[in-house]
Amino acid sequence: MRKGFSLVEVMVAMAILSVLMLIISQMLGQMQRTWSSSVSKLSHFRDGRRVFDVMKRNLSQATLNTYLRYLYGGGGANPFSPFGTGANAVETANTMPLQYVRFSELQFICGPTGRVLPGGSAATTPGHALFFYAPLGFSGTPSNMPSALNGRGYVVKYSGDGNFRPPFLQGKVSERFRYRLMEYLLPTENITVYDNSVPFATYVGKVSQWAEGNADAWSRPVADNIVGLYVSPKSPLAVGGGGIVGGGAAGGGGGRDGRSGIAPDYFFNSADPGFLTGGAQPPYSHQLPPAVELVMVVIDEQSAVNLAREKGDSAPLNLGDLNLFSAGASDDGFRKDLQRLQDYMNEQKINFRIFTATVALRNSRWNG
Amino acid sequence: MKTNWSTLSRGLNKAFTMIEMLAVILIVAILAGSATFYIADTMSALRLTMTGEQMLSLFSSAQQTASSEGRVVEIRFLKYQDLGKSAGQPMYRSAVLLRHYQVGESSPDPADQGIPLAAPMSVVSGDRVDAASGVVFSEDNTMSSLLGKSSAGMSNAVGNNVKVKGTNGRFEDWNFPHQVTESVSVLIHPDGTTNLAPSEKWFVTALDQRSEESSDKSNAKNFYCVQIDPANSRIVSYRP
Repeated sequence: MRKGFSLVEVMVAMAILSVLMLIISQMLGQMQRTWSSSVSKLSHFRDGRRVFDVMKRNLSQATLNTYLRYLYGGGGANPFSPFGTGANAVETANTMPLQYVRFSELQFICGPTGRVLPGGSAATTPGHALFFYAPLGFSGTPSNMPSALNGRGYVVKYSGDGNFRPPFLQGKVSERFRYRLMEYLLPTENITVYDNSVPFATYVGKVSQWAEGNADAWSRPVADNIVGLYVSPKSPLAVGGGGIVGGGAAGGGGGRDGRSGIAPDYFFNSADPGFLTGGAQPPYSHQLPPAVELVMVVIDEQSAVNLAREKGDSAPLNLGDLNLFSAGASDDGFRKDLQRLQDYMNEQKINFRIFTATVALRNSRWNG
Repeated sequence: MKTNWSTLSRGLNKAFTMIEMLAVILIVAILAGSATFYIADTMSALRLTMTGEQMLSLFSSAQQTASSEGRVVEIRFLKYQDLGKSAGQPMYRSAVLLRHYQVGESSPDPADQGIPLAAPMSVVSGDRVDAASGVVFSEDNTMSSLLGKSSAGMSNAVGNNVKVKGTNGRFEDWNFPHQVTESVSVLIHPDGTTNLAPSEKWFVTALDQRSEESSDKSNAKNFYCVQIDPANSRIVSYRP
């Protein structure tokens, strides 16, 4: 038998073999994709869950240390001083206090990011911002003061990681553009609200005056792929229409009912200075809300990679355009906005999860 | 026109000649030879990935243990000479996870029946990373600020009373199989803060031993970098 394989036979064998290989490689690729997507889903929602827990724990410790003091409304810049201005400050002093008011140097402020931190871009900082003080014991220098006061804040931001990552990666690893939950950590030693040299009028009610520098300088990412954060202050009891008006915009608009009534347009500023120049002190002034409902939207890493590949450094989602949680904070309106948020995320065909929780603020002495 | 099928089929049915077979074998040999070169590269990249992923999961396991058990957890990087292989400079090759027990806490040793500890104690659990052969954790400051900087927050004298659970259930002194010349400790607190200075960036990079030995380490082609945030212990990894 001198006959070997014919060319046709060899070709047929190779064709069969290559078809088999093709099928196997496709199966392997599919398995690999499924595996990595499930791993990334697990690990990244785990990160989101961890951050949500930390945020809840920190927020529940929010404090204002509110005290009562006389409001004089003298001629000077400080309404708590009876004295006037200039050479005859003493002669023009207002000896009769106007009223007895609650006051605190500290602040609790939350609401649409554009109102809390004016000047930011709505596309890159969607959702709400939340800033408060709490005894968290964070210090820039190693210390052992577990209950030292800190400023703390949370806001979602879409940005590259160039400023946070190790410098040697420059030129080796391309920048990662992601939605990140930024945590504002003000170390105890940098709190300036008790600083006499800061003029009263410039500091009151402004997050940017909490510390030297602005909110950006003290912010660091705490988790990637958080695309939305929404904050809704709640009262323990339903507040009827026309009841308590939240910080900022006064009156107007219906739908101010249910437990969300204390911040009808989702904006709450405990240090709103409006009453200092006259009028009665509103109930929310220098008080902590009794409870706060948090909504956090997390996507998985693979979806984030795809989004970043499509859009690069411009924010890929348009959550800001939906005007979610910006007005009509009734219990009904809150649920509707939550549903709209869910629908929008479903439309994007990306893996996401929404975390919600109501956090009771222990130090709240609410008596609205 | 008629095709001469019998001639064609005879031509196709002809067996391969010796020369043809030799040519094929030669080509296959050349292909295999060049493939080995790439496979060696792939293997070392694979080892680096493995070490990096183990390090990443050690960090995240420490972070989770700290928050779920409400206790300080330490990651200790160990520098030693690998006597088993080529004798060379001591390098950082291992990291272990230690749970810290404070004075007054009830002893984790079952034989002590829960009496309060008189001295701080740390316990080594199974979580440990040993860099794969040919892979080390860089001590270069630009590549690994954690191991490169001798910063104030990085004292390694934390908890010298290190125990490990023995085979009989009783706790015994922990002995690392190599002569450790230096170590660096990262402490993660239950609230996510660490013992690292919050104003700086902290990261550790695993790379090829040859890159670590060369003069320009930061030119390493392949590396696995893990960064930990000193204030909230966010963990991120970077690869080229």
